[in-house]
Amino acid sequence: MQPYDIVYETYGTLSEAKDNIVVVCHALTGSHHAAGWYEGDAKPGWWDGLIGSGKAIDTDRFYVVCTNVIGSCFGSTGPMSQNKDGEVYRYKFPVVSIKDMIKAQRILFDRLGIHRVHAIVGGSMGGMQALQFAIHYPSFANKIIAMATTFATQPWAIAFNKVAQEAILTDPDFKNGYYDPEDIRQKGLSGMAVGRMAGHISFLSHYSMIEKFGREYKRNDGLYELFGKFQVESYLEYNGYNFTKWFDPLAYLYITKAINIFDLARGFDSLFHALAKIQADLHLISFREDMLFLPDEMRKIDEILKSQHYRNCHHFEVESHYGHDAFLVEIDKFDSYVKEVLNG
Amino acid sequence: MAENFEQKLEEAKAILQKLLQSDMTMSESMKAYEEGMKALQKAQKLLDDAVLHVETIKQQTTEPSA
Repeated sequence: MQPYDIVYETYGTLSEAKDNIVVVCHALTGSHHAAGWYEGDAKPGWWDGLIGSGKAIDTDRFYVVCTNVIGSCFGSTGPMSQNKDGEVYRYKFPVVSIKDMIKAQRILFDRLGIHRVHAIVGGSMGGMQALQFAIHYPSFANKIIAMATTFATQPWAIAFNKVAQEAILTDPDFKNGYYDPEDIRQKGLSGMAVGRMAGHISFLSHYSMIEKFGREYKRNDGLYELFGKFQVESYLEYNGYNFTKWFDPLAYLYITKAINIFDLARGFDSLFHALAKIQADLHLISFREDMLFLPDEMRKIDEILKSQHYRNCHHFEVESHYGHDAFLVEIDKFDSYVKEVLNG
Repeated sequence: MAENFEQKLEEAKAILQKLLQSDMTMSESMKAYEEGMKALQKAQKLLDDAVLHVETIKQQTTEPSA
């Protein structure tokens, strides 16, 4: 790839010794806007509950940096960016891996004069980046906190991504990748909406859906109306269709590809050998009903490291019924843990 | 044309004004009362729908997802 852009946001103040840096990595549809409010927005950055003055990632103490991954659509170079000849990449954009994402960040940090950080924190695809940092740049971070993630993406997660990819690709309005992004922002893309609905199912759990929606029916719809809706249907529809107004379909294809091919063991003889590279204080946080990335997958990392007599690995399984998105929603269940790790 | 909340409220107000005039007959005022209540009910329904819409948006946009 030619020269690329990375957009990033920072919170807090960099100490003179540059020893208070916390890197935050985002998930599939996240961005560099991790905390705080943009004027006019209905909601704050995606981890605002965790990052801020007095919060677990305390901006009174830490200098927090969050970048938008390459391949995404919030300002860093991705498939809808222009190459140096002014052409939009589209399918000419290379397939990027999680490793590429963290290499690109590392180059940016070097440019910013950041050669070592206090911690790297991320959930889901952000957790993959945190783990990849731990293995690829073992001395870059003192502490790694990886949540709701895995050592390698399993078929269950790949299958959900497949539904989304196929739904996008077969939507005539996707125009085989040669769509006008403005058209999609205005009119939506039903294929991507359907795919995102599948994603939302994988982000919740049987239990959280009962808690959130039960069998509630939309108040003004008739039960025997063919298109009358249960609340869960209304939720999926709203979030599915709304999503297509703010996320780019080609970026979705590229990022889900990066997630699918993620495997910490790639380039090593085995996962055992890959994990043997780790030098940082590693904290794994899993969520009991996360069916996208099972707590067992994180436990496996812990067990391998324990078998290597690695003392600085800790696994905290959060009692949560919420499902995968608990790392974004049930912050109160793990923020004190994160605070302790960062301040310890 | 779609009915709007403000129109329905104005309609109800106008009917109330009529009712306050003492020169109406019993049957005229009964009819006006019925019409006024209908307009108010319609306004209430529009208001309920708006509240439901706001609640739905609030519920569905407050939580981030992966």
